[in-house]
Amino acid sequence: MKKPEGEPPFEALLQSLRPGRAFDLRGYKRPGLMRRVRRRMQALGLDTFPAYARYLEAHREERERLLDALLVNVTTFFRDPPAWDALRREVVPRILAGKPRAEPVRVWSAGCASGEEAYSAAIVLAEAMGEDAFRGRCTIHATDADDEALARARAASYAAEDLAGMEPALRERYFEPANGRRVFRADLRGAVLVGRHDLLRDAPFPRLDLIVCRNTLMYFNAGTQAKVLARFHRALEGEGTGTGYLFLGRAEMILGSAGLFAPVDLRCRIFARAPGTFIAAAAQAARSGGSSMSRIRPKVELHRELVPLAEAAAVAYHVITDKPPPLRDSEALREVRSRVAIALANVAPLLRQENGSAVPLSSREIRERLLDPGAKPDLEGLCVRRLDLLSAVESLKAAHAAFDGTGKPS
Amino acid sequence: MAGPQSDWLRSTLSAVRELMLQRLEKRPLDAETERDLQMALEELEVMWEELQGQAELLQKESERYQEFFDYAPDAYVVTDAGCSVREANRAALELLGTDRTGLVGRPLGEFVAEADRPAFVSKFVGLSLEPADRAIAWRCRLRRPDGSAAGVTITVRAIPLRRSGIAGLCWLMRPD
Repeated sequence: MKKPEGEPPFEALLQSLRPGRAFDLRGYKRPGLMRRVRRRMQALGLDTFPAYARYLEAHREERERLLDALLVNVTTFFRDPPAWDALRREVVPRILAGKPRAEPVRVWSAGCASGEEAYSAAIVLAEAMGEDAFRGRCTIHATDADDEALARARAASYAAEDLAGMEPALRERYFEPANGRRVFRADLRGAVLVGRHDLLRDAPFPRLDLIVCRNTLMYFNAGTQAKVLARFHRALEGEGTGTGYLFLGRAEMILGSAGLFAPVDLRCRIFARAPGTFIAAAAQAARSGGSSMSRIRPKVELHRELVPLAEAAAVAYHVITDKPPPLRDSEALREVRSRVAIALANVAPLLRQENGSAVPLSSREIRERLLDPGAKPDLEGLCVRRLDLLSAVESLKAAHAAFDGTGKPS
Repeated sequence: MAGPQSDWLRSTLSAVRELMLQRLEKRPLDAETERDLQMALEELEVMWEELQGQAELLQKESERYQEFFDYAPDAYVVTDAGCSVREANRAALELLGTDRTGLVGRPLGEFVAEADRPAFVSKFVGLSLEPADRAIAWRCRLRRPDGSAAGVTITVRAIPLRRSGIAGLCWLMRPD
């Protein structure tokens, strides 16, 4: 076990808070947590963590007040207008352009607090797609770890002053008056799924096009940030596009996880899932590829951990040459497969058996077997780990030399 | 490194908090507004801590890279697109027989033997015609400030900078 970061009495206090709410504070930065707890202690005139822990035991209502103080929720509609403008101008059009066949658009507002961010995203998308398409194609997951905030997000009802900063035309179009307040339009509200989610414990939503997570990561320590970013990276495969976008808060950066994302607008903290990865390229190829039934349509099931070598080879061929793959069962395709397999074998031990264990051959043996013109190389049962493929891109590109300009192996 | 700055911001934040509390005492707002103000201040503190952590991480990263560059066993020189030296590592300073002040800002061509300078220039011009990711290599003789000579193989590649074309040139020099 990792040793706790703070002082023992403080860690004991955190520990005592855990059973109350299914909520894990261990990944949060200690100085901030301590400062917020001390502020509560000051208000009560208590000097030590153990004294405060005893007070907490005796006064159940203090628990709620403390958790409320620990989970900072500062949020408004379209907070940082220039950043939202950049999202509207640069990112949303790209997401929609990547879906020529009206595929679903999937968004996650992670750490949505009382929902302002999620509904801001909903408005931006509804404006860009049109209301009908938004209702039909768009899903926005709005999650937080704070139940109280979630209840407000679910109600989607805001005071007039909460909406004061919004463009009046948008306010009129998307909010309906009710009991002196304004409620997000019910017919569009259905696209926003509000739910409880702990970023540190619960699995992320898959196949997302956009994650809006602003001023949430900064409360986590560096190790936890890296973990969450890795999860975001996996989740942002895009519904059919391979590239999703990440929208962070102004003080947040991707430093330790720089390889996972590339900046789209650094000042506005908008990032794209790193381009040039094999899967992104494969998805791109799959989308632009011909769909004639007589051809193998490049396809990688993005969630599968192991990609059969033959399939990986066909996709790689397509990605590298930008040509439709050769006919199924043709001599040409078999040739292509073994050449790509050779390229992959250069970066062994990437090859796996279907059960995930490494192929019990050295990379040299694999190469020799595949190169032997007499022995028809048998690729059945050989798989490539998806993650290994990402690092094998260079080798795959080198394999391009194996193809001549006609798309047939030389 | 972020020490004095962070103190400055911290003290500003606590001054603002102090001021806010005083005002509230005189003219109490509703509890919700007070809580919102407290939270906004808390968020600013967390933002500052985050930025401070990032600055430290960047500093460490840059030191780590500098170390790697300095102690690389091969001689590396980085010039601007016009061949003026921007930085050079230890191995390069040893190979060129000079120190940093004698090298940085000077044209690298000055360290090439007179007879090899036309070739140096033509290679250099040729490089600008190459696609950005192609390296070119040739052999030439260096002339050190003390007059001694050394044969090297020079490999050079353009360092592309997104959007603005060539950002500079990276030179590797290996003694023959």
